[in-house]
Amino acid sequence: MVGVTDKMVCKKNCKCNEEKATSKTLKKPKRQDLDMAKEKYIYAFDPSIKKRVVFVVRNGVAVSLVTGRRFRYRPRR
Amino acid sequence: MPIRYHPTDFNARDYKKEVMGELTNKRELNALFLIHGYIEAYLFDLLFYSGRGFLDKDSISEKVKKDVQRLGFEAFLKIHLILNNIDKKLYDDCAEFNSSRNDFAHKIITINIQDEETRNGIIKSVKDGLGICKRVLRIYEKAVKKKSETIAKSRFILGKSKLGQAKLG
Repeated sequence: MVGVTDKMVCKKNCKCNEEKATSKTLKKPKRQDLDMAKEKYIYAFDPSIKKRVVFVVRNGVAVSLVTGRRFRYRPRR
Repeated sequence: MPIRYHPTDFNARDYKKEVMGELTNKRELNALFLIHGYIEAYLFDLLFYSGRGFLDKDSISEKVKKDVQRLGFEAFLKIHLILNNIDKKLYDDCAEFNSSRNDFAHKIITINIQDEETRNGIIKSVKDGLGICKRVLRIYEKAVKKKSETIAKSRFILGKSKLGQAKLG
């Protein structure tokens, strides 16, 4: 082929380039997607505003949707 | 030692089951006041998840909370309409349902609850209320989920930044 050198062909067919391309294009799952999958909602007392409000529970931590206050949550069995 | 705040599950209360239970037991007035109570509670609570950011005890004192709660059903409707949390159709339906409920509540000692026509009128209002509550609850759940997504993105709550560590109480 005109304009194609041995060096260019080697780069084109070389497997190491494929590996590099794969690692660049590999996408890590977004933290947001992981978090949303593990969440749960509860009503609990928020002492900041002295009102029962919705808390979102993720990874054992409940966070108030109103004030952002948080506590460690362990559901009763 | 984990801090306990007597939590309950978000889906613990089933308004439809409770209201239908009252209707099945021929307690129509109870059913009407119950469904009205649920709608009012969702509309009031929705105020707290409508805004951006977080509230603190200085901006939402006991007095402010009580004054807002005292505003009542109609005021909540108007606020949510202005905030664009509910559309005009839902506003009109809620207002009509509230009017019907008030009618029965204010005439409670003068109406004949044993009368078939009166009972059917109350049952019709209850069924309207159930449909309205379903729509309000959908908006409420959407607002809760949206606020939760905001928290998930927030680096303060996740404690990643030094500023976040300082803010956490």
